[in-house]
This record gives sequence, C-alpha cells and structure tokens, in this order.
Amino acid sequence: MSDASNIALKIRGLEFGYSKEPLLEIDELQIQKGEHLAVIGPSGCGKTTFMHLVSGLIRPQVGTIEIQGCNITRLKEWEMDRFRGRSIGVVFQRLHLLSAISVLNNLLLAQRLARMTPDKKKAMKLLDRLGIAAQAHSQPAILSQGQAQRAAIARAVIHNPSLVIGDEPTSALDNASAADAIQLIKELSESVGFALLIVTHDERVRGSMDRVLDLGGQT
Amino acid sequence: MNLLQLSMANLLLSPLSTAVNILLLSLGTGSIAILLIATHLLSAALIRDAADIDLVVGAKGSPLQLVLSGLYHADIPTGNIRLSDAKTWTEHPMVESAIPLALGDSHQGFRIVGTNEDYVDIYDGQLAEGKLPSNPLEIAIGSSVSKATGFSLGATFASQHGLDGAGHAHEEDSYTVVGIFEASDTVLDRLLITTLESVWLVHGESRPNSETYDTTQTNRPHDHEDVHAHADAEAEASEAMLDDHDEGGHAEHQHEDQHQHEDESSSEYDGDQEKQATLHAEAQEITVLLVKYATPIAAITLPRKINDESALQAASPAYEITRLLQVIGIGIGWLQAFASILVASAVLSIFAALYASLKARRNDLAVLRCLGATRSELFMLLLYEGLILTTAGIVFGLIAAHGGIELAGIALGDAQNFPLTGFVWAPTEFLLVGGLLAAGILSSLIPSWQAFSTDVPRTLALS
Repeated sequence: MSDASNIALKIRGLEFGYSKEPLLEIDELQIQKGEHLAVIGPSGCGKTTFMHLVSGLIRPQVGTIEIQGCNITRLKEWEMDRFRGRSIGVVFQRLHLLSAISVLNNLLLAQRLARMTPDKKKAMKLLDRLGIAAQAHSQPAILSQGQAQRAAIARAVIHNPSLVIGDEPTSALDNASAADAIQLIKELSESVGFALLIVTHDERVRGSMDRVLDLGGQT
Repeated sequence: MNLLQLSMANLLLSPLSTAVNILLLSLGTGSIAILLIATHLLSAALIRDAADIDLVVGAKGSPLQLVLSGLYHADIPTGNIRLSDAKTWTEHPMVESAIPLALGDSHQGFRIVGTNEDYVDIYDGQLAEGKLPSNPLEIAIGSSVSKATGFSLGATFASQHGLDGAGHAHEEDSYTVVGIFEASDTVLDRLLITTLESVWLVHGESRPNSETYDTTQTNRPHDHEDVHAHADAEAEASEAMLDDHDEGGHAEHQHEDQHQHEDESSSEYDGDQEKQATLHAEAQEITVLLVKYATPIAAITLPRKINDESALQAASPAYEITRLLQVIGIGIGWLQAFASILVASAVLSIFAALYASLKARRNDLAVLRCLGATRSELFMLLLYEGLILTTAGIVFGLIAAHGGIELAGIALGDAQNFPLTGFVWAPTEFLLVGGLLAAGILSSLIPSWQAFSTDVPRTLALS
C-alpha cells in the first residue's frame, strides 16, 4: 500500500516523440519519497528526454506527470520554472556550477531561485557534511572533479526538493569518486526524504539503486 | 546572492573587458557632460550678469564687443562717449534708469569701474565690510578681488591703465579700500567699484589745474597706452549733471587704441569758473550707459533711434548674447557630435561584450533555468549586466566631468570671466543620463532576448 502523500513522482500514460513515432511511452510509474530509481537504456532510447520531461523542461504529448501531487503538465511555463526551483533538484553530467560565483553562492542562489530566504548557515552545514566546507568561498574552477560534484550535489538538495534528478552524475568521475558521490546523495535522500532518479549508463550506479527503469526494455 | 549580484559577478569574470567598456562610456559621457556643464555655466553667468539690463549704450563699434565689455567686463570697450551725448538718452521718456560706467583701469587683472550705487544694486551687492565709496579715491572690492589680492579695509594701491595689466600705473593717485562686497556669484565679485569722480581724478580730469589738462592744446591726440586724454572737469559741475539722473559720470580715457581728445578747445578758457565748469562737464566721458526701459515698446524703437540719430551705439544684450551663443553653439555642436560618436562606440562595445559573454554562458543560463529561474529572470540578468556597465560608465563620466571642471575652476582662479565650478547640475544632464540609460538598455536588448529564448534541453544536450 502506498500512501498518496508519500508519492514523489507519478507518471501515467506518458507518450512523447519528436516525430509521429513516439520515442517514449510509459504507462505507469511511481516513485516513493526516499526511493532511488536508476533509469537505464541504450543510447537514443530517450533517457535524457525522460529526464527533461520529469523536470518539466519539455511537455509530453499525452499523459500526466505528477510531482508531490502536482500535475506539472498543466503548469504554465513560468509556474513550472518556479515549481522546478522549489521541488526538483538537478545534478548534471558535467559539473555546471556557475563559474562566476563561489561554491557557497551557488548554493545560496539555488535557495533564492527556490524562493527561499538564503540560509548561509544551512549551506555551510551541508558543505561541511559533504566535506567541502573549506572550499565554500572558492571559485568552482579551482575545485577538483570530486569536490565540484559534491558541490553540485549540495546545490541540488539545499532547498529540500521532493525529487532529485541526476543526469549521468558519475560519468566524469573515477571509481572512488563515483562511489563516494552516490553514497552521499543516497544518504542525503534518506535524511532529507527526496526521491532519487538517476539517468545512467553506469553499472556502479545501477547496482546501488532500489529499482531500475530500463527504457530500452520498458521494464 | 540574487540576480543582480550574479550579474555583477558575471561582469567581474572578465575584468578587463568590463573596465574597457566602462572607460569608453565614461569618456563619451564625460565629454558631453563637460560641454553641457560649461554651456550651462556660461548661460547662467550671462543671464545673471545681464541683471535685467535692456540696452547697453556706448561708442560705435561692434555691438557684441560693447555688450561684452560694458555688461560682462569680458572684452575691451569700444571707446568712450561724451557724457553730454549720453545725457540726451538718460532723460528720454522711454528710459527708466541709466547707469553710467567709466572703464579702462584695472588692478591685478581685475577691472575698476567708476559708477554709482545703482550699479551695485542691480547685482544685489551687499557689503561684507566697510562702506560704499563716496569720497575721491575710495574703492570697494568684490569678494574674488579681495581673495586674490588679499586686500582688507584701508589697503591702498595704484590702479593700472588698461585692462591687460600692461599699462602704466597711476602711482600719483592711490585708491583706498573702504568696502568689501559679499560674494554674489555675479560679475560684481570680480570688480573694483569706485565713483566716477575717482576715475576722472585718477586721469586728471577732476583735478583743478591739472597738469594733464592743457588749455593751450586743442584736439590733441593722445596715445592710449601712455597718456590718456582728460576732459578736465569740475566735480561740482559733473555732479550737477549727474544729479539729474541716477547716472552721472564722465569718464574719459580711451582704451585700446589711440584716441583724440574731443573738446578741450580751451584756448577760449578765460578763467571764468562757471563757463569752465560747464565746458569741462560737457567734455567729460563715460564708457557705457546701462539702460533699463521704462516701457516694453522701447525695445523696438529706442535702440534704432539711438543708432540712427546719434553718434552713439545701442546694443541689446539679449540679442547679442543669443547671437554669441549661436556662434558658440556651432562649435559646441561639433564637439557634441564627436562625443556622441564616442558614446555610440561605447554602447556598441557593450553590446558586443554582452553578446560574446552570452555565447560563452549559454550553459549557465540553461542551468539557471533548471534551478528555477524564469525566462524573464534570464532576460533581466543580461539587462542588469548592460545597465551596470552603462550606469558605471555614466557615473564615472559625470564624476570626471564635474571633477574636471571643478579642478579647472580652482586652477584658473577667480580672475576668469565666468566662474567655473563642478558643483552644479545642468538640467540637460538629466537628458544625457536618460539617453545613455536608454542606449544601455537598447544595447542589452538583443543579448537579453537571446537569454530569454534559451532552449534549455537543447543547450543541456549539447553541453
């Protein structure tokens, strides 16, 4: 039995394609809060498209996507932007920290865009927890890959989202850093309570997730 | 951290480009602002120093020169006029008041003006110390003169003939400072005010049995630089003439060139004091009459009448100054056009910088959308960057312009004809600032629109 209020993501009758032929069809998918889902499949099967659909950057032709009970397919674009800022966190394949501002300011800006009052104390605490408090005031360009990915994870979760989406978050990391990053994000998921959806080719990630959605086989 | 701060941080990411763009815009802004401030100061000084004088009456010559010398003390007088000729017009029914000025001497570059109290009144001159001159060789000095010369009450000095400081000194007749005016921000600050009689006395006109008055010579030419003619005079006779009107005065002495002494056909002088007084009084000269009309219709008829029916010249300050500003305006127009090109270059440079930075930061914009920024916020992000550059350019340009003018004012001192100060705000500067901000916004519009239109999924897919 799943409690409706405990559902982070719910997809029903989803169809999307760039031509008449649908690229992606998902009849039904639910992810509970705190649950970790790996989205896998061969190149071109629509993994990134799926991620964009769930984060509201594109809209499905058919079907609904609900995040924390909100049908995002009905939101206007600016409403979706704000919803995304409040309820979704994104960790990118490449680092994508804003290079003009410090690590700490990347976090504070994410809070601001989530329409929260920037909380420096909370940001520092999170950075400390991720082991990069010493780099809080550093520019992203001088961080190591591992430190930068931790900073990106911190930015994705600083505003307590319901859902965190990772787009190949470990592909640029070595084994140790990748394992470390996955472990950290899973720990944060459990403590903050967000659902984790990771689009990946990485077997290391796949093996550590609760469930796997294979878009190539629609499992 | 908000979007404005992010914009600032983005600009600081390319400090050299940012600094060059700001410098370019500052140069353009500063150049235009200097022209606007200088024009404003000039216009304000011209209006202030005109003191509602409707007409300047003096010797024939350039009307602009007459106005500049008689009203603004910024040029060489056109010559002197007989007091008796001037009197014809001071009594004209269309004349409300006429103030006589006798010019030609100076001290340390500041001009000495022989006149009466009415002249002080038109500038609302207030004495900070002492009194107005009433006795021969008493003089009251303007605030700038006091500052420059260090004179205090009781100080004595000899005037110099001419206005350029190169003339001979009237050592035999020293002036005594009896009054110091408060600063009035008018031409009065830069003048030394004495009575007409004092000017005549210094030039030997009122001195009985003056050596310079040679009754044996008639129509004797006098070199202006060295010797000036003296129409002799009796103070009583001249006062009697002046008492009729507020003006009064007879000055003489030519200014730059040589002149001939009119009058002095004193071969007929036979010792008859009354006859002599009348004769000399008629021969006394002043330099200009500052006239206020009694009726608006005078503006149409009086100047023409004076110019056509007498040996005098009447010049309207309003007309001549408008003409002067038109001439100056042509030069200013060219300078403004040049400065505008600078501004246009700066605005284009800002556009180029924003556009280049936009291309380099497409990923950042896409990430910002993923973090919850709306399209409008991305638009504003780029617009802020353009506005920050523009505002910084404007601020630095205005500071440079006002600061530069203030420094120039300090360097040039009080002797200049028009006081320069950077602590003024020309109304046209509002237009300049508004125009520049609009140009800054325009230059940012295309990059901002492109930021607004960022295709996030595509950008992320390509990154």
